[in-house]
Amino acid sequence: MLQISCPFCGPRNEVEFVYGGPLKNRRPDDISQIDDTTWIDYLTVPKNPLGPVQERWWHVRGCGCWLTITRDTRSHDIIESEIES
Amino acid sequence: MGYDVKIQRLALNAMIDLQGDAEAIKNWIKDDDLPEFPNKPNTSITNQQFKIYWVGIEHWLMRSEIELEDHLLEMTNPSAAPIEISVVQVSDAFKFFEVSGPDAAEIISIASPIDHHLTAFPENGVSFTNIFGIKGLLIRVNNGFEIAVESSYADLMADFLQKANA
Repeated sequence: MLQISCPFCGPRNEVEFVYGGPLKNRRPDDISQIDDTTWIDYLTVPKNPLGPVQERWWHVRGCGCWLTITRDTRSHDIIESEIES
Repeated sequence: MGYDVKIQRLALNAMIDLQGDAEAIKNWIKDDDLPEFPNKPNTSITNQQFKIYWVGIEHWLMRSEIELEDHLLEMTNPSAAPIEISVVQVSDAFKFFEVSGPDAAEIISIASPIDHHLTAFPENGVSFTNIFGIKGLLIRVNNGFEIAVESSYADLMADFLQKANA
């Protein structure tokens, strides 16, 4: 069970949150100008690094904010969390 | 009964949901009867008539006895609110429960993962949290806690609270 520190509410149990997936790269501005491999990579190939990853979590049963957290996949330590603007 | 608590469903309250820029809301709602807005997240400010809860970055709830609902609506004037803020009457949307008595905290420990110790959830603490798996508003009061849930969950919450105290 994770304890996620919400910048507004403070440390809260994971059950208050919904996982929103990994923080993805920005969507290409003009998809007609990129090749299929790049587009498929953007859409479907998930990154799975060993170490810090950035994830989106929704504090749905709390203040309602979307957070971006940095979590170390080796230890589950949450290094940083910030509210998405 | 397992714990020394009193669990009761409370009467309807007048509630207004406020969202948007704090300054814009304060400029819109000016009334001498209102208390100041809370200055710490997840806390409340209360005067004799009204309570203001700060429950999200740009989200407040105003609460009063149901007899003062018309006064609350006059002050907030939801139908004429400027476009940059949201003012919504939500009196019917919430049902309140009070869990009071020496063991009130034991029931809250069963109901919710929130740290409700005074160091983390102060005397004027108020916060949305997970209560028996449902999003609910937890409020610390004099002799225990109040819980507010969406009206459709009220019977379920009453059942859960009763079972927690069985």
